Amino acid sequence: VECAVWVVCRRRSPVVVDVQRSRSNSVRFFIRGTNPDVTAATSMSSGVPYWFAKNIAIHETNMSQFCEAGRAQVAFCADTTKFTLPIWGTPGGYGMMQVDPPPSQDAIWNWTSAINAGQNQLQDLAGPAIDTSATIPLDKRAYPFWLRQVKQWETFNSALPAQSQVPAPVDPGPLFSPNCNFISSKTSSTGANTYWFGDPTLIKQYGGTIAPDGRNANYVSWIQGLTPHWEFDKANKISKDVAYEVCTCVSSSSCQHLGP
Amino acid sequence: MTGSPTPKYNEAFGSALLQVGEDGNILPAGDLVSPEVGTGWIAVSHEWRKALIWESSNRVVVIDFDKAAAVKKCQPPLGAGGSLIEQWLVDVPGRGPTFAVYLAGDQAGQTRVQGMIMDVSVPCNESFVALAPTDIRYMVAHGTSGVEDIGSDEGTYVAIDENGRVSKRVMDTTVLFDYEIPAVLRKGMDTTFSRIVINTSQVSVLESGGKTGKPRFWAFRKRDKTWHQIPVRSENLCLQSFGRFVAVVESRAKGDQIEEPALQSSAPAKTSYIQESAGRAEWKKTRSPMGPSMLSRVDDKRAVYPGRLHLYDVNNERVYTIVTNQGDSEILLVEHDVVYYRVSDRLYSAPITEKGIGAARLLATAEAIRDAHWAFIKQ
Repeated sequence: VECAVWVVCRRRSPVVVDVQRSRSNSVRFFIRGTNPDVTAATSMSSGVPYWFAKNIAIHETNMSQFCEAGRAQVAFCADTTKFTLPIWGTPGGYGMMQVDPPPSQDAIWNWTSAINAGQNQLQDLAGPAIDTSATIPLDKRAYPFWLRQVKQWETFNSALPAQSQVPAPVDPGPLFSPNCNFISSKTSSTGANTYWFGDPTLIKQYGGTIAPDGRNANYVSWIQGLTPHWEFDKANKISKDVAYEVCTCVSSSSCQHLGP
Repeated sequence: MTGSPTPKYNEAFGSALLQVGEDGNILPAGDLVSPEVGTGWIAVSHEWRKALIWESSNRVVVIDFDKAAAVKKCQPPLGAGGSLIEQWLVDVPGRGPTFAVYLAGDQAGQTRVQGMIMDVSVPCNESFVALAPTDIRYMVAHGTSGVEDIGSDEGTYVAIDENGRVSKRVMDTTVLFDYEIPAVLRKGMDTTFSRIVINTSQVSVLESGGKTGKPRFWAFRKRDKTWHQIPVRSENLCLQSFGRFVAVVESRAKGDQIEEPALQSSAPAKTSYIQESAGRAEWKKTRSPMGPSMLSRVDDKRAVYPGRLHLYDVNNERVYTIVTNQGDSEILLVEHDVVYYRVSDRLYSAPITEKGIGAARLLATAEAIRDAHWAFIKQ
C-alpha cells in the first residue's frame, strides 16, 4: 500500500497522523492531538470578554482539548484508548470549552478554535447587557432576561409602601465561593469579585438549565405568582450549583465538581 | 387549545388547536404557534369568544372561537426601549377588545402602554395604539389556566389602601378601580397588595393571602355590587371564570388538614392531612412540543393537589365539587350548564344540575389532551 498524507498543522495545535498497516493491507489513520501548555491556554481564555471563561475551561476540561494522562479528569478520558482524542462530554460537547454542539470540525481539533467557539456561544447566550423588551419582549438570553426581572421587581415595589416591598434578591447559598459575590445589580461590573446575577444566569445557561427532574429554569427569576418573590433554581443535570462550581475553578486544584 | 407560555423558563412550547370528534377521536385542527417559537402569554375571553397568543417572537395571534382558527396575526412595531412589565386584555369603550403591553424604562419615553386592537377588520398597520394608564380600569381577565404554572395567568397586581380602595400604578399614574373591599373581608390581611385574578362582566375575583395568612379569594358580584369570600382553597392562582361560574383547582399546603366527603350521607366526613398530590404515577413524565412534564413543575413542597375541582356559582354562592383524585386535572369550559374538564389525558363532560354535578361522560382519551388548557365549542 502506498499512500500520501498531507497534514496541515496549525501553529498552536500539533496534530500527529499515525499510519498503521494491518494484516489485511488496509490502512488505518489515527488523528491525534496534543494539548497546549496551560500558560498558552490561560492567556487565550483570559482574553475572552467574560471573566469566567477561563474558569469554564478549567471546570470543563482543565484547559485540555485532548485526553491526556494526568490532565483532564473527565469520564471520557478515563479510558486510556481515548488519550490524544478530542475530549467529548455528554450530550454533545467537544474540546476545551465543551461547546455543545461544536460549530465546526476545527472547534473539535483546534483548541484556539474551541476557545473562540466558547466565546461565541457565551455571546449568543448572554445577549446584550441591555433590556431588549421593546423588540424581543420575552428575550430568554441571560442578560436581557436578568434586566427584565429587575425592572419587573422594581415596578412591583414602586406602587407599595416600604413595609410591603419585596427585598432585592440575595444569594441563598448554601454554597458560597470567595471568588464570586453575586448581587442584584443592573450593571455587570460592580467591583472585585462582585458580579451581577446576569453572570450566574449566563453560566447556568452555558452549562445547561435543565434540572434532573426536567425543570428548565434560569438561575434566578422574579416570580409574579400568588406571592411575588425571587426564586433561585441553581441545579442542572450535572451539578447542584454549576455557577458555584465555575467560581471555584480559578485553578485546577481549587476546582470543585459537586455532581447533581 | 394547547400551549404553555414560558416567560420565566428557558424553554418554549408550541400551541395548537385540537378538535374533539363525536366519536371521541382527537384530530389536529391547526397549528397556532410552532414549538421553536413558543409562547409568552395566552389569554382568553369567553365573553368575546376570542383567544390571544403572544408569541415569544413578539407576534400577536388572535383566535376566533366561532371560526376555530387564527384570524389576525400582527407584528408590533419596534419600540423605544424599556422592559416588559405586564400585559393584559382591555375593553376600552369605543375601541373594543385590545391587547395591552406595559413597558417601563429608566429613560424618558420608555414607559408606556402599547395596545393592539384585536378587531379583525382593523388591519395590522392601524391596530397599534398608545393606551392611557387609566385604561386599565377596563381590564379583562378570565383567570389562570392549567395546574401550578403550566397554563397562563391573566390579571394584575394592585394595591389596597387602609380604606379598602383598590388601585394600580401604571406609568407613574395611580388608577383607582371603582370598588372597595370591605373591612370585614380585609381582617387579618398583612400586606397592602393583592392581585386581580378575574375580571369579567359578571365578577371580579381578587386574591389576598398576605405574608402569613392562607390565600383568600374575594368575589365581587357586579350585578348587585356585593363581596363574597369564595369558600374553597387554593395555594395558587388557578381560578378561571366561565360565565357565572368561577372554576377553582384545589391546592393545599403540604400537611394541610382536609376533609374528604363521606361515602354515605349518614357517615361523618373523614379528616386527613394531605402530604402529596394525587395521581402522580399517571403524570406526564417528559416534555412534549406542546408542554412541559407535570413532574418538572409540581413540587409538593410548594403546593399539593388533591384532585378536586370546584365550581363557584357567583349568582347564589353555591359550590359544586368534582372529585378526580388526580392532581393533574382542571376545568376547561363551562357552557350551557355543562362542565368540561380534563383529568390527565382524558376529557370529560358532566351536567350541572340542581342536585349537583351529574354523571360524567368520557369524551376522549389522548396523550395530546394533557397539554390542552383551554376549550371552546365552535358555533
